[in-house]
Amino acid sequence: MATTQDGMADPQPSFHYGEVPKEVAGREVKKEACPRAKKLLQDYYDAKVSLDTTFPYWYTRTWKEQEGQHPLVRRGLALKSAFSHLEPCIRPGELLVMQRNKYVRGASIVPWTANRFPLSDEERAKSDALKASNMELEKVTILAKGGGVVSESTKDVLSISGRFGQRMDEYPALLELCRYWNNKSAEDTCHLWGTLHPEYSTLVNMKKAVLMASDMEYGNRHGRSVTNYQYPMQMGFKGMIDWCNKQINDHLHTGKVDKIAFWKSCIYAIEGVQIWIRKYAAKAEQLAAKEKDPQQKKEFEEIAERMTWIAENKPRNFMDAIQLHWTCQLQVYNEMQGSGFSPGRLGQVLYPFWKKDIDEGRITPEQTLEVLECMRVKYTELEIATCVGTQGILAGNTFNNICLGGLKPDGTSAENELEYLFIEAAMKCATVSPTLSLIYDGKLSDKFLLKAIECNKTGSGYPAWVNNRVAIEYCLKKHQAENITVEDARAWSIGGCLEIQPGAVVNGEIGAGSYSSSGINFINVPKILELVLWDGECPRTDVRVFPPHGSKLETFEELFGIFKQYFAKVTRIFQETYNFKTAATFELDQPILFSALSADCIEKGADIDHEGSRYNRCFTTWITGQVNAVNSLASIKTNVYDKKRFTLDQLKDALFNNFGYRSAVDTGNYSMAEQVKSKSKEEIDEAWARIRSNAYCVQSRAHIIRDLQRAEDWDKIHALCLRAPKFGNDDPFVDAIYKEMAESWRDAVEQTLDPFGRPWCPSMLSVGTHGPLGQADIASADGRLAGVTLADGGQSPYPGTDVNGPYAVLNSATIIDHSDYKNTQLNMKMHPSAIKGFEGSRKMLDLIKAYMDKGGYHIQFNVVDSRMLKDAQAHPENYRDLMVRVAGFTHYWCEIAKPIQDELVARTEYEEV
Amino acid sequence: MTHKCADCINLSPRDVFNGYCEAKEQSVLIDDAACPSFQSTQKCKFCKKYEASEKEFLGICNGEMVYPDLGGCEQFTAK
Repeated sequence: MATTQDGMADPQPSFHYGEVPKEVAGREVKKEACPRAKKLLQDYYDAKVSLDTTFPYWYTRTWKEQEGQHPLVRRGLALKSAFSHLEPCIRPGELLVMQRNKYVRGASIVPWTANRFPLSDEERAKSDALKASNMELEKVTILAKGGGVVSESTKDVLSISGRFGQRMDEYPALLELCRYWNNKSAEDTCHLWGTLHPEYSTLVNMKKAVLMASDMEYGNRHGRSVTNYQYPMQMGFKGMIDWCNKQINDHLHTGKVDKIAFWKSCIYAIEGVQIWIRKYAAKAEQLAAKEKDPQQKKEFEEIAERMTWIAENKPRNFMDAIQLHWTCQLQVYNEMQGSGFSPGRLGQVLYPFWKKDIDEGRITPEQTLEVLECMRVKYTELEIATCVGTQGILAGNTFNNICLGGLKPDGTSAENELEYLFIEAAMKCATVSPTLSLIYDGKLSDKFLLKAIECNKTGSGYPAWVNNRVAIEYCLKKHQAENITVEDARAWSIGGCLEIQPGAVVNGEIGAGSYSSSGINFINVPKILELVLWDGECPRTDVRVFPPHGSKLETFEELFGIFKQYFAKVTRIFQETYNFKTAATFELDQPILFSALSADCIEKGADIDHEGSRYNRCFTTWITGQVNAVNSLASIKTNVYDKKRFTLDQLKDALFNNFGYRSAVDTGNYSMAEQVKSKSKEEIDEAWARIRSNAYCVQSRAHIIRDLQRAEDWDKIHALCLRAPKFGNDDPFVDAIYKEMAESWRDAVEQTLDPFGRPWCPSMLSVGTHGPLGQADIASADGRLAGVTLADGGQSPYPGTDVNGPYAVLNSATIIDHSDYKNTQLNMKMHPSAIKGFEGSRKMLDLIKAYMDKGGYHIQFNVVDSRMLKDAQAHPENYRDLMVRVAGFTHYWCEIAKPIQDELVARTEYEEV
Repeated sequence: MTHKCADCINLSPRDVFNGYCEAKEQSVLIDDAACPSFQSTQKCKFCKKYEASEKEFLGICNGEMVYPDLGGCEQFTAK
């Protein structure tokens, strides 16, 4: 921690390693989007996030009409109705068409999944009072207000969840729909089924104390997975329907009604999508008929022809294939409330179509780039409607990850020419989605790796770099019981931010077929240490979570032992109750279309909620703030037990009183770089002067002296906490605590079985949760103050605490075996000058290779001058398109909440590598 | 009834505030009063079968709850 001589947090806005250049530096590599993409991107910038009621209306109406039908068939028919009623919208200049609904940044409420958050606060509070709900989390969640966010209501438009614009004249209908789903939705039935667990009341208190970010079982149950495109690419939608019909006919004698119902449901849902596609064809024809510009007319006609074709058939060429993949993405996002349905190895899936077109002269690299840039705008338009609690996690992103490189199933390098164009398009048309990840393998060419570095230098935050060896090891170890093949392990890809998902080779081609990473949405690790110190109670909310442990915590081993016990207990209760709750949704909102696409579901006759996927060990528990917890444990061991500089009671007093500082939640500054004392130096000096001049009566004087002395003690304790060893410095003492904590937690996670009977999976990344969870925590023994945002990622040092250079960070980060975790995450911030020129590129590549060689799974970079971020905070109107890397995703600066912005500014900036 | 751009067939909505008018080829506010080239969309409120209910912004069609701005119904019959 950068501190002043008296041990106070240095008031500089960010932390640095190396000498800061005098001039504010922009990014070294800058490119421009093609005119077509630029225009579409401007439409995106101008658009507000908007809700459309069409999909939930028709879904609910048909669902009601089909009461009594088999649940799967009922859902299939409801989906067909919802899709077939969506209105097509095509904008001039579009090459790829289709969007979630009529709005550019459109989303829809999914009331059969989550029906409570659109209701009024009053109505919602009644139902939430007894539940393990997100209410306490939402109280501390601070949302972004810039860009396309609709943060305030107007006469005609209501702001829902502080983000989504809802037309007032559609709101009464939406309320009726939400109320219909009372006690039927996943949200409500999860609660009812959850109460079957004997420790449900403990879960309620865990949520009240904000020991976890947000409920995934109804807020964001599916996703962090990879969409498989191989079936529609190989047989078209008609082929898939024919396959389902054949399966039905072949299995009529088996008595397996659920399988028949699944295939029937797939047919209905696909038919709905086909109707939706044909409506786009008709719309394009209609636009073509009245279009005067010959070029635009031709493009509308081509769209009409293409949409008519792909509604039935497998793609004939690259344009068909890329449009078809986008249609598949949209159908998945529309059928359920989830995030991170990643396109995975899209460049490799599309390559055969593109290569044939290139070889036969049907497309040029320039035309390809134009389409890929348009595709980037499409992905960036995606929105999902969730409650405030889930918004705090997702931070407005939808986590579509394209993986580049890696290996083919046969073990040869998978890099191809189309992937170079994917990177180039992402540099020219820099948008937040899809993000790119480069699967690093020694077989990839240096040319390819340096192309990726060039992209990093644009400051877009992508590609992230992930380690092929570690991910393959993970797949082979963790999916061994499911008999994973080496070929499928090599075909792995990222689902969502960084979660490793095994691949699924389909007829020799790379595809996907694994269950969602669904589960415990980010355990608040520093809060667990609070519970240990406060004997089972949350000091911020006074909620008693566990019965008193009764220990006097006389040794560090005792304290650390109880910490590990609590961590395991919290993990177990979350996981066990999640099993109960999520099982309630298995017959309600199954992903039919995602399952139809997923490898093996149609073959098996089961959706992914019934283990239809090829690989199903995916239930996941994520954690946040572990680096703060580890630094705090290191501080306690050093200061309280080893050096005996202060007692545990003195520390608790200092923590509870925030070391004499105002809470970040009060000041609105959420990093350690800009904190404010409760009493200024002048006020304290004046108080001492008045005491010396006998200005107070004896009683007041004694009281004031005691207060001033306490504050002085807090200052001293704070300074010692800040100076204690920190993770990220290659310090064996603190790194050993990290390793012990991580490994004991990993074992605890895997002790619980998921609803399919397989062990849960441990995962380390923060997404946006280090903001709200930090706001829910009091000060910690590492010197972090109350309400200040926690450390991001899984292995990122706390801002300003990594003082031994980047390679020391890498050593600390690889103290654990990364292949034991579904993902890990390390973020670094670099000044553009640190990696300038070809030499800089090589240095950056060397750093990445060193991390991969040490066994790190993931590393990503912000290449930015922190002063630019400060300026963007002060003048957001000048930075609409500024993007930064958060924690597993890239996002527009203006659409990031201030607690995360402050943390990004404060992250240690490396001026040299 | 004063028509709004939001109810016009020429509107390609951008969001809950704005849209693009395909006739004028320019951006419009969807709550703006419609121009002479207005042609109504197939929303429930323009359908013969639509009955307003006692509750604001809610209607009934063949006994089913609908809302005035609901579109896409295949049984739409212009008033």
